[in-house]
Amino acid sequence: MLKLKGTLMLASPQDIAAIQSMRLKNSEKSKMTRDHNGFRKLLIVLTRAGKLFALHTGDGHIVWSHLLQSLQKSKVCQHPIGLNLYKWQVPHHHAMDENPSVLVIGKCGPSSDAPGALSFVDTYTGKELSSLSLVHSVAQVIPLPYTDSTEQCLHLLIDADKHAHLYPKTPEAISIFEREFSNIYWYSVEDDNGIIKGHALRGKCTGEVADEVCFDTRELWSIVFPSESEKIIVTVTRKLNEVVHTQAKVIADQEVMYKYISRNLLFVATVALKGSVEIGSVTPEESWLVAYLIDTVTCCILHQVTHHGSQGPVHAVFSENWVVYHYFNLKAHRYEMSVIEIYDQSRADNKDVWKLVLGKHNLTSPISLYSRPDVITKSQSYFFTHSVKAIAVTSTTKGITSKQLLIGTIGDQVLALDKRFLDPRRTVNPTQAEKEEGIIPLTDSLPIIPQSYVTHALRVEGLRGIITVPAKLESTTLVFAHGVDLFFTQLAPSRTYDSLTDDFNYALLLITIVALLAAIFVTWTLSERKELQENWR
Amino acid sequence: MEKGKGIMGSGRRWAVDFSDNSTAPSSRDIPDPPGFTRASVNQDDSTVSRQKKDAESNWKAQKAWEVAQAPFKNLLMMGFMMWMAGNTVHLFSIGITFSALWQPISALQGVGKVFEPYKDNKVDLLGPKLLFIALNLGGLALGVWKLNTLGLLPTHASDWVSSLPPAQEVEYSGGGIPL
Repeated sequence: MLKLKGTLMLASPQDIAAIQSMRLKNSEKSKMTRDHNGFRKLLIVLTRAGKLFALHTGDGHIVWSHLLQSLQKSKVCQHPIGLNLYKWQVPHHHAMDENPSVLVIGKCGPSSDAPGALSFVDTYTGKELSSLSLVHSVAQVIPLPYTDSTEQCLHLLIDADKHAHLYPKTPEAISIFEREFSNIYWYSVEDDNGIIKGHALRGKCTGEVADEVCFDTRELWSIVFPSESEKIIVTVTRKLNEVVHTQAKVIADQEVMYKYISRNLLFVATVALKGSVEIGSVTPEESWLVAYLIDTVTCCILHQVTHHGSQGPVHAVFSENWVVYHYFNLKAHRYEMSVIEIYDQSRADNKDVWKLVLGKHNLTSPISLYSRPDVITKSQSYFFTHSVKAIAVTSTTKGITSKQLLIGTIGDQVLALDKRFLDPRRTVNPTQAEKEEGIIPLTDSLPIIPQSYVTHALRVEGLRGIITVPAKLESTTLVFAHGVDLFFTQLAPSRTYDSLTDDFNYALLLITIVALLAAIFVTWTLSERKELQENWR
Repeated sequence: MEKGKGIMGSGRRWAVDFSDNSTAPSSRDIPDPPGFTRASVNQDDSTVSRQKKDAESNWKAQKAWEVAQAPFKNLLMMGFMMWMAGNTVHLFSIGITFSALWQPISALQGVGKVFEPYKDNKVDLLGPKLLFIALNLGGLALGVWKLNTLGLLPTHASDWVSSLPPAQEVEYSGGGIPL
């Protein structure tokens, strides 16, 4: 009725508003079911106050919100702080029976040995499934890549006494964990005294807190940064669920470089002690920035580079086999962005084509980090004009699409910069083969193209972080920027190469096919008839 | 023709009497054509046919060798056209390469048909046939080599390696700055 009025141009302004809101509610993007392309998702956000919200990605409306009881002030928990969210259970096989759930971890006090509190929340309805108040503190949470038969993800909670507790506390989880016992390590970064320590698991806990799921750990290695000259400011690792498509990178002239893809690499940036204050209050001679790439299982420092005359703050992102970090160069009075790429040199001997054809290579066999890796790194630095609040990288389901760096600038906007600008193999005069590969000629600063702002003319006030989530469609990634404002968009770094445009003319295609088939049939019969007449002449 | 004679009778001007004069050389009512010598008629039939057949088989053998060498010219022409097509992958270069590959294959399929007119009991066709096949295989090899220079054959290590997934790691480590 209202729509009829609208089409006949008889609607009043309130009617027009009502029609708009009806259209928005019923539109494709706000439906509460899953999308074929994976665009409709629920964003679960946890605030510092312990309130959990679910936002719909279609138009951002709040589907449910829940103030978690276990994280509220009570006798048990005096000063609760909401800490972090982890994926707990994503049932693929029982999708009709169970909903996915998340694990919310909080701690009951500001000190580091305050007891923790766990809460399991159903993501579709917002109801709290169960909650646990722990006797031990929570210093770190390590999500393990194993799931049990009910598709719950195993988590390891490390407390302040360096004991590891396994959750869920089921015997099946314990048996899965004990099978992989010797392959699990963890590291801790203590930035106030500049020490990184690596630990391994030892066995069941001894002592008064003996529990089935409590495990002792022992220290394997430690790296002590000289505290009078270096202070750790940033550590970054790869995202856990990142998918890398291939391990080989084909460069010009059909040469191959093998990427060193290891999830256990840690990027650490340290600055000189004086350089950890505001920019410009130290002279270039007394400030430097050292970047390390450390293997957290064997404590091997794979790469170390010193930037003299530079200081923090440093923002870094680590993906696949490269790290990009942003800092301030005091000598040039400009911000700089550097890229480090690591390649595995030990696999470069696989050049015999016959062996590769027959499959007699060990390129896909599992590798252990205890075999000494032979790596080479390539790095380059470029000037960048903006100051940066956060950096993230786009991620897709299969990792085939080329990546873009999402840079949150100090003007509260998000800029998408193609990773090809940060390629350490860029040279001033690329050869013909390199140009065919797509290497951009080297310039001293990174171009900022005004059309590549993801946030168009908007600003995400108080930008704090950028998160990217893969959609089911390979060419698209979902970007969520949060701060005081929340901003969500879909990005296609290589344009949408795997879906047809919206106005694709299916009718024309069908008509063309039918017309061609008819023409084939007609000309076939005509030619047969003519041939028959010729033979009868 | 007796019927014709019977009906028409000798009064008709154009009644033809088909009587065989070759075995009766004594009949002289029809003069010999100029340049005709009676001596050649006196020879034996089998020698004539043998000489004729010899000449024919020689001619056939010669022709067969010529046909066997024909692909060589084709080879040269194809080689020149492929050189003109260049090293990039364009419509022209792909078309020339595939026609250079297809022509030898279709010629090899029709080897029997090509050599059929020269089929003879005395002529040995094996030699020409082998030469024909060898030249066509050479043309095929040329087409394959051109395909290789265009970069379309998987002869480099990168062709077999570029789709391998990353190797799995045995150890797993996590952690970071304490919460």
